[in-house]
Amino acid sequence: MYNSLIVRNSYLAEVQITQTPSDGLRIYFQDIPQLRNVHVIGVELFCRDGLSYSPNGNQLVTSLVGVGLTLAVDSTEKFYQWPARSLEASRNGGLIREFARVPINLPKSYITLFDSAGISQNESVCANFYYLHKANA
Amino acid sequence: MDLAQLDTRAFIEAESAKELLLIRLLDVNNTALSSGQRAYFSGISERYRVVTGLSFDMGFSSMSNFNGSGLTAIGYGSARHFGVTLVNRNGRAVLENLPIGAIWSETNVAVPGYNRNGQVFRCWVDCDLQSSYITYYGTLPALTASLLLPLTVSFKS
Repeated sequence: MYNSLIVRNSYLAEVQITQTPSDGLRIYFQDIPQLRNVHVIGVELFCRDGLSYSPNGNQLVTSLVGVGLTLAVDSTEKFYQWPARSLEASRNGGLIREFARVPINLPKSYITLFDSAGISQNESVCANFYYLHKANA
Repeated sequence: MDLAQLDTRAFIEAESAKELLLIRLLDVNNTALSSGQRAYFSGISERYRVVTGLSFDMGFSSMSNFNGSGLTAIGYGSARHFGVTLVNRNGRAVLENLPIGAIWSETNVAVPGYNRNGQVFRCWVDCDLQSSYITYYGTLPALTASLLLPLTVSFKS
């Protein structure tokens, strides 16, 4: 299975677990100007296997097994609690999950710690968003 | 031809020219990078190219005395500490902090988390290679000035 995605823009977003990790904890993405008014066409997630530290210098979690991703469009959680490991391309034969040009509302999107075991405070999860500007979509 | 049935690697080879870019992991003082610092591409043959593919290639990983230079190409474990930013002709970063982990073309299924099935990362960026760079994230104790990060870049020919 090979990707059909041809990437024109990408941005690596970070969610840092600043609170004490606990089961069920939600951590929201911050607002990122580059990801406003865009159509997301794909996403891939990273733990420490593929990226040791975030660009902000925070160590990534060792595994995404106990993590879920929720992505909102406007105020609706269109992609709800997606198991993060299935979005880790290097664990899935390089497959990048593709979307049909979705206008993600990043500040209303978040990760959930289903199982916080093995996750430490101040570690991060990184999400690489592949996107098109709406004018080009 | 049905593109869905076409091998991605063959597609890239057919449409593109390729160039191996060797990036020294040095700052402006020619000392090894520290966390957060950038290293710019060097030795590029043309500044402006349409980049159609990127790959941190297994074939070059950990190769010592690279091309007779006495330099060593970093391996996968170290490559996880870097990201690539491609800047377009207008000076805008269009691929920002793309982890090397997103562009390695590993086929080693025995190591979980490293298998990308040999795929080249496909993109389309009207790129200013001279302004594009890699960034070092982290604290590798073994990062020295004698290391290289080799990237295979495909171009629209």
